[in-house]
Amino acid sequence: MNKALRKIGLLGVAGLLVSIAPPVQAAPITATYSNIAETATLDPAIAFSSDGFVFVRNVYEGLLEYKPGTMTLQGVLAKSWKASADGLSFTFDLRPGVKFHDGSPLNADGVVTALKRIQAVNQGPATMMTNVSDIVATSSSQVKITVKTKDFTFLGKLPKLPIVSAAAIEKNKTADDPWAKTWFATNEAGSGPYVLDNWARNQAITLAKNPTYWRAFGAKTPTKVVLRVDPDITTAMQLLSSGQVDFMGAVGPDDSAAAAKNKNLQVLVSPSYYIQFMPMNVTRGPLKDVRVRKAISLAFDYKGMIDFYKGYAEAASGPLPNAFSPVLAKSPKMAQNITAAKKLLADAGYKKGFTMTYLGLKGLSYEEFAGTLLQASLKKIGITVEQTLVPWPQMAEAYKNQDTAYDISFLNMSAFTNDAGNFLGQSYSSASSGNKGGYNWSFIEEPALDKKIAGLSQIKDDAARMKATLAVNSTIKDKYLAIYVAEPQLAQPVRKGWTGVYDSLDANYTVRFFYTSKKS
Amino acid sequence: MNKFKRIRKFAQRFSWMLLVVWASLTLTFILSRVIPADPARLAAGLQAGPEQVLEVRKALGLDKPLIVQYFTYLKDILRLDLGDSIQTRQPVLDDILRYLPVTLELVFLSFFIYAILGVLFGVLWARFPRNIFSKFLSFSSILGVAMPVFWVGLLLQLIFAAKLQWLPLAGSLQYQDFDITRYTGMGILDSILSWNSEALRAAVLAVILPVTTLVLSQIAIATRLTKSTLEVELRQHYVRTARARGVAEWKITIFDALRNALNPVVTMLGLQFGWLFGGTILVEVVFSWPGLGLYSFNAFRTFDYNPILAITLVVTVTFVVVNELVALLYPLLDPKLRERK
Repeated sequence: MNKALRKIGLLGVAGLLVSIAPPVQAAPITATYSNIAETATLDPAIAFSSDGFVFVRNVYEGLLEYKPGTMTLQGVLAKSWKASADGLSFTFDLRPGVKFHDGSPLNADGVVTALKRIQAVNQGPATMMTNVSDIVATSSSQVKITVKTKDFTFLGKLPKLPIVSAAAIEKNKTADDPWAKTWFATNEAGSGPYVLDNWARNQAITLAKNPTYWRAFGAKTPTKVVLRVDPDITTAMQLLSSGQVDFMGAVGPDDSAAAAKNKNLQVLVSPSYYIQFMPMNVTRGPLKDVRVRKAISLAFDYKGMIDFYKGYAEAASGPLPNAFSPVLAKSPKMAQNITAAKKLLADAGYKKGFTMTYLGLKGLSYEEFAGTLLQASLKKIGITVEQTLVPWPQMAEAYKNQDTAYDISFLNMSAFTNDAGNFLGQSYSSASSGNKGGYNWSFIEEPALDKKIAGLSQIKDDAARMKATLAVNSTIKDKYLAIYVAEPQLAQPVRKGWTGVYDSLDANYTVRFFYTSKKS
Repeated sequence: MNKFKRIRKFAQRFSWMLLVVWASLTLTFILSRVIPADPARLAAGLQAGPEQVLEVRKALGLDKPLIVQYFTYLKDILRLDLGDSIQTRQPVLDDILRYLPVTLELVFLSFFIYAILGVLFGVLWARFPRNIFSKFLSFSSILGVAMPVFWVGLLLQLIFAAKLQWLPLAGSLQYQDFDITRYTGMGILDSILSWNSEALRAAVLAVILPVTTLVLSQIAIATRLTKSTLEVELRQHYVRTARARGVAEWKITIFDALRNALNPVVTMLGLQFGWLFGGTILVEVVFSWPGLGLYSFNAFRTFDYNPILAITLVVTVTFVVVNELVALLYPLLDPKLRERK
C-alpha cells in the first residue's frame, strides 16, 4: 500500500514538475538578407524601390496582398472585399482583432487616414492612387474606395498601398509635418509579421517577430530578419558562401551560375514578370521609319544575350513578359535574321547604313554587354553604334526630353501589379512619354493606341481583358518600338535549406520572410 | 617676430585656408550641377509620375535657379546647415557626424601603422640595402603601389576570412550585439569606454582586414621616400665626420640623418592623411564598412548633391588643416628653419 502510495506521490510530483516547467522554446531562426544598398527611408509612403520594398513588405501590410510568386490576390487587413458591378467602387471588410505594432487596433477610420496619407505625401505608392476619388469609412470595420473612371484592375494595386497606424500619425505629427513624415522616416508603425528592432545605418536593419501578429508563425518561419548592406557583390557572395548571409538581393547571371556549383547554395528560381528591352527613339532620323526599326530588331543577336545569362533567361516574344499569358509563352520568340534586316534597310534607303547612339547604365554588366552586342549585331547591317554609359540620374535626365534622348537605350521593366494593360501603358502610352517623366522612351504618342490601352482596365471579364490586351500587345509589337532583348529569370542564390520565393511584382529583390522557412 | 606680425601672418594663412575651402566647394557645386542628371527622379521612386518628381524637386529647392541654389547653400554653410539629403531627406550634418567617426577609426589606425612602419622599413632599407629583407621591401613596395586597393582587399578577404576563417569577412562592430553605448562611433574606443572585452575583441578583429588593406596600399610610398631621402643624408659630410669621431652608426642614422631626412616624408605623410579619406571609399565598399566612404559612394552613385558637397567640405578642410599642421612641424624638425624664424 505504502509502495503504491509512494509511486502515486512520485508520479504526482513529476506531473507537477512537468506542468510548471517552462514550455520548450523553439530555437530562434534568423534569416539574413544582403543587398547592395539599404532603403533611404523607412516611410512606406516614400520607400518605393527595390531597396525599400524588402523592409516595407515585411513590416507593413496592405488591405490585400499577392500570394507569394503569383498574381493571385488574397486578403490581409481586409477579410473580404467586393467590387461594384460598374467598376467604380470597392468595399473592404476589415479583419477583426488586428493590432498595429504600436498597440493600436485596426479600424476603418484608421485605414482611411493611412490611405489619405499616401495621397498627401504624394510619393512612391501614390502613383497607384491617381484614379482614386474618394475613401470613406462606411462603418467601423468597412472601407469604401471610389475611383474616378471605372477600373476592373484596381484591386491589383492595393497590395502596393501599405497601411500605417493612424494613432502613430496622430501622435507624431507636428504643425509643420501633419503626416509625421519625419517620424516615419526612421520609425515604423505597421501591422506586418515583423517589427523594427534596430537600424544601424548603412549596416543592417534588424527585424524581430511581431509577438501580436494575427497569423501564427510556422515552426520553421524566421523569427528574426537581418537586412544587411554589402555594396560589393563579391563580398556579399563570399558572405553567402560562408553562411553569414542566407538570401541575396541583386545578383547577376555570373553569380547565379557560380552559386549553382556551390554545394552550400541553391539557386531559387521564382516566377518572373520581367522584360529587358531597348526602346528606340521614334521621333527623329532613320528611326522614324518602321522598316529601319524592324531591321534593327531583326539584326540583334538574341541568342548572344540569352547565352550571357547562362541559362537563366528566355527569349522574349514582344512587349509583354511571357509569364502574363500561356498564349505568349507559346508564341514565336524574337530571333536574329540578318538577311531580312539588310533587305529592309535597303528598302528604307539606308543600304549603306548610318550611325546611331546607345545609352546604357554604367556598372550594370548586362547593359554594358547588351550595348556591345548591339554594336556587333548592327555592324553586320552597316549601322554604327556609339555607346555611352552613365549612372541612372544622368540617364533619367537625358530621357526627360526626346531631343536630348539617345537613339536607343535600355530599360528593365517589371510588372508591379497583375494588370497587363498597365504594364503596356508604362512604356507605350502618351501619358508615360519620357517628355512627361515616364518610361515611354520610344516617345511614341498615338491617341488611338492610348485609347486602346486605357480601355483595357474597363473590361470586366478577366479572359476578355486578357484577349484584348494580347491584341494591343501585337499592335505595339508590329510598330517595332523596341528590341525585346530577353526575359531574365528571377534566379537568386540562397543558402541550402531555405524555401521561399522572391517577389517579381516588387522589383524582383523582395522576399517576404513570413513565407520562407528553414529546414532544421 | 612681434605680436602684430604673428597675428597678421595667422590672418593671412587663415584667409588662404578659407579661400581654398570656398574654391573647392564652388568648383564641386558647379561640377555637380553642370552634369545633366536628375537625382529627384531617383528619389521619387520607381513609377513616380512627373508631379511627384516635381514635388521632390520643390521640397529640396532644386526647382530654383542655380545661382539662388548656390547662394542659399553658402548662406546655409555659414550657419553649419549642410542641407538635406535628396535620398534620405535627413539633415546631411547628422549623417556626416554619424559616419565620420567610423571612417576616422580606419584612417587613424591605418595612418599611424603605415607612418611608423613606412619610416622604419625605409630606414632599414637605406641602412642595409643589400640585405634580403631590403630586397623583399624593394619587390613588395612595387607590388604595393601597383595593386589596386579593392583587389588587395578582396584577396585578404579570400585568404584570411573565407579560407582560413581567422577574421570576419566584412562589416564593423555591431553595437546591438554587445549592448554597448555609442559614445564616439569608433568601435574600439567605444568598447573600451563601455569596458566590454568581448566587444573590444570583435571591434579589433573587424578592423584588421580593412586597416591592413589601407596600410598595404600606402606603405610603399612612405618606405621608398624615407629610404631615398635617408640615403642622400647618409652620404653627407656631417655623417662622415660623425663616423670618424666614432659615433655609433645607429645613433648617426636615427638622431642625425633621419631627422634631416624627415621633412619631405612628413610633407608626404600629411598629404596621404588627406588622401586616406578618399582612399577609404573603395575599402569601405569592399568591407561593407559603414563610414563616410560608403556614404560618399552612395551619394556619388545617386547624384545626391548636398552629401557630395558636405564630403568635399570635410575632405578639403582635412587637407588644409593637416597641411597647416605639417607646416608647423617643419621648424621642429629642421633647426635652420627654427633659426630663420
